[in-house]
Amino acid sequence: MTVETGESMESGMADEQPGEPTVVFNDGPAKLAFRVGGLFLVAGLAALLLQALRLSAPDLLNVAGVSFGRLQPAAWGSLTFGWAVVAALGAAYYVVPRLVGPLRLAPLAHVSVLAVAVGTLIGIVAVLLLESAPGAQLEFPIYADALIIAGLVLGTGVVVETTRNRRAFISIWFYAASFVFGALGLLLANLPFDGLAHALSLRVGQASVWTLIIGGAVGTLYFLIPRAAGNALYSAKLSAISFWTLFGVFGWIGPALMTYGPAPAWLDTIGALFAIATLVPVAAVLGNLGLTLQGRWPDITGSSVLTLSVASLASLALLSIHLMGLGVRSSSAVVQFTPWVEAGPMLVVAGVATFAFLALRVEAAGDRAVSWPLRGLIGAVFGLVLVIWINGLATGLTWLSGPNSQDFTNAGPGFSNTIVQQVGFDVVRWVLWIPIVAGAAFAYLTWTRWNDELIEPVELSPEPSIEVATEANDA
Amino acid sequence: MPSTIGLGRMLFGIIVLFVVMVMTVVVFPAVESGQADPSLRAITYGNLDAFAAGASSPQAADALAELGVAAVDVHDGWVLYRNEGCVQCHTQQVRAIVTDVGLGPVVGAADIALTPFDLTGHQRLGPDLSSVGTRLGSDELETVITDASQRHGWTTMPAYDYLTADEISDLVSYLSTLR
Repeated sequence: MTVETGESMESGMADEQPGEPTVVFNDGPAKLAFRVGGLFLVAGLAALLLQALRLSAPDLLNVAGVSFGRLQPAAWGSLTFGWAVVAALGAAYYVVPRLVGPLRLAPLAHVSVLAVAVGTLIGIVAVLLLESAPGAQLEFPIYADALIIAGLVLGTGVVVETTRNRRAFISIWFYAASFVFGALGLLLANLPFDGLAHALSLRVGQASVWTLIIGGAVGTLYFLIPRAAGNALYSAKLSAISFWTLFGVFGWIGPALMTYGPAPAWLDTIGALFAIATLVPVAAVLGNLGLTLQGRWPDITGSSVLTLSVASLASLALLSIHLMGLGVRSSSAVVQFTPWVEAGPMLVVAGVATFAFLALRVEAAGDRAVSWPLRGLIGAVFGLVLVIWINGLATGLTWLSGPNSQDFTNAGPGFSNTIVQQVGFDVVRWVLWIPIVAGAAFAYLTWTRWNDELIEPVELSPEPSIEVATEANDA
Repeated sequence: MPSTIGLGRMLFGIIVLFVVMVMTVVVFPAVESGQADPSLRAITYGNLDAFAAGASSPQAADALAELGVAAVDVHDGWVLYRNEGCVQCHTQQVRAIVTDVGLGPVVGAADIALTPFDLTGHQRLGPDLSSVGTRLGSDELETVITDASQRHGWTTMPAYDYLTADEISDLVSYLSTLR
């Protein structure tokens, strides 16, 4: 029985045995999102494996349309919008009905997923064959971004309408706010500014898209972890603190992405301040969900959902360290423009988002065992981030050594010093990309089952309302 | 407490947060830096579309004439630089720190004023190109584009030999103005 409306759900539940009703959800939009998003995930990761190989073999498959400079933004666009944003929409369409009741405006939910997916596809084709806009992870032209923005606006409408006159849980707050924040950020990045305003709007736009992805992932973890652990959410106050600080801090890290740049020096201070301040929402999320796991820590390694959820939280914690490296002037002078910067999108998209949304996918598939491809995926992502960081530090120190010793400058023949120390790192990096691609492909190809039955009434969802949590833990 | 705030009011709060953020980290810095006069570099690249259409500011026209490049070629090379994704590996942002000593003049807000496409970049898999026109001549630039390994055996730059002769010429024209 598929539940389409509140009335039919109520009547459907009335037909079941008292105490153990079966509710079947209309998971069409969520299924569509994960089916389409998974393709973008695997394709994007495979493209990045090719890019990594090209650093060791520069002319590998080097033809017009898929040259290094064109494939790089296409690959990250595929992962950022085609996978992470589409999966965030899918996660919302899976989680929200399980918290408050059947999805309203389900046809619009389908349209929102298709709008983002088609926008991404158009953006990829444009970047590969036609034109490219500037801005890291924001290279899609305005007509592609417009479709993505429309999808996010529709997604917000579906979530708000589904929650209307119902109790809003913290996960729902994260989804709705993420979609609005991301849409505003993309809009900002496409405004016809010039000069410094344009450069800054691109950095803030990128930070806003990160906020969208992180918010969607954290909202999903707030649903998954209490359910998988069988514990009530630890604290409503910490949930609220994590929500407002996350959206109040992460967008502001834009200036940290151009420390020592052409902006006024006081903006560097803002960037550094907010890069450090990311510790607050991160600590609130980690503290809240970590304490929710009390008594269940030994079970983590045996549950795919919990393993992936904890890996997502760990990625979030590492992201703060990454941002402080870029935002604080003394460290930024070493690592800015080095491979260090690659760890940002890696942690946000491949770490926080991919682990959280795959955890939801495995929950929907009902698959509990932690497989070796999954372990390989998680280990390789963290290994790659570590290698990127070390690589970034080594490059930055090489750049410092030239002018300091007056032996070389970091251009012309002097740049050979950068490349020489890079060779070993390049090999390790493409080796680590292999289990990442394999793990994602394994997940996509094997988690085909979708369990859309929930053997419990919606009202008994293990994620408590804020009021319940207040009584249970904060009193 | 959030339990007393509806979803609509929460979203209003998020929008207010966003607007405050944009005002602080985009609008105010841009207004402050906008008080500086644009440099010749900014005038040139800020008006490339006008150049391509036949209009030009006297200052920039003189600068391009001195380099012996046509505005329309510079414009086309600039578009190609953007679309081929050169910014994925090259910055045009020299900072006032030790690391960037020897790369050319520091790039300030006045140098990117008016520019409708931000090409300051975010990573240096290859060297900064802010002043590449002072380091390499036209022939050397052409060699680097078509097969960088001929010039530097250690390079990881792919050969852009699939570009047409006109495209390479346009790109060389653009790069030679970076100084």
